[in-house]
Amino acid sequence: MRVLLATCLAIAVAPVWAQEKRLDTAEALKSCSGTVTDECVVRQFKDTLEASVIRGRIVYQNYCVLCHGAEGLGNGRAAKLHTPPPFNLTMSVAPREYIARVVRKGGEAVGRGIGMPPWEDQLTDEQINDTLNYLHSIRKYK
Amino acid sequence: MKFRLAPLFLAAGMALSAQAAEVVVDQKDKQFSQKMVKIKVGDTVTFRNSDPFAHNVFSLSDIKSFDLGSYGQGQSKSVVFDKPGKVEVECSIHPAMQMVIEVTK
Repeated sequence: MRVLLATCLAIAVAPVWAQEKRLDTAEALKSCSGTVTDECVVRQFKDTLEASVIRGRIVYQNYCVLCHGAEGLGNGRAAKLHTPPPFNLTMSVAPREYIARVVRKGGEAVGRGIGMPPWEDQLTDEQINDTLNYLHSIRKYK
Repeated sequence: MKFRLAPLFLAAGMALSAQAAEVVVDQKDKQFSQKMVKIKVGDTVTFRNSDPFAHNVFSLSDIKSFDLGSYGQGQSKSVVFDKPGKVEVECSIHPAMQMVIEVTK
């Protein structure tokens, strides 16, 4: 019982974000000549969480939009092919580690819908990390 | 009279099915081996994965929509095309992988 409670507590407080540092707004305004664009953030502040989210959004748009839709609602153009339908990612409350496993191994390997492909051979660890950060940024319940 | 014609119909049916062809399309180096395939109604296209990672072939075309799921190297999955028209085929893991199947009567 104590082990179960400890496990639940660990999951509840487990960090969902990766350990990137946050963007310093003042520094960004200075380095980006007054206009903080995505390109500037990614180029000048590549180790920040904000840059990771931007990169993750690009990965999402290239690979995930097809099924999960542009807004992550599970209504991509290929969604109609799948039962169960692609997950509405904005409603996710799952721990980061679980989502990482789904992304890497695919839905079938974790007992979810077989329509979710395994991505670990196509995406690098950095791309997956960035995508996880992006997915957290679009959550309705953070 | 009906019973006398039965063998004739059976033979005709067998002849038609015997004419149905199978085309194998390979998936290699994140590409379909053929960009365009022309087949007839009733033919089968078999998608064979020759890459060392998974592919997931699908189509959203009106005349034939399908999703073959993810499958690995050495595995094949087949689709029978039962209506004429143009079928655009893609891979959900590799967005640049695209091909067209033209199905004629």
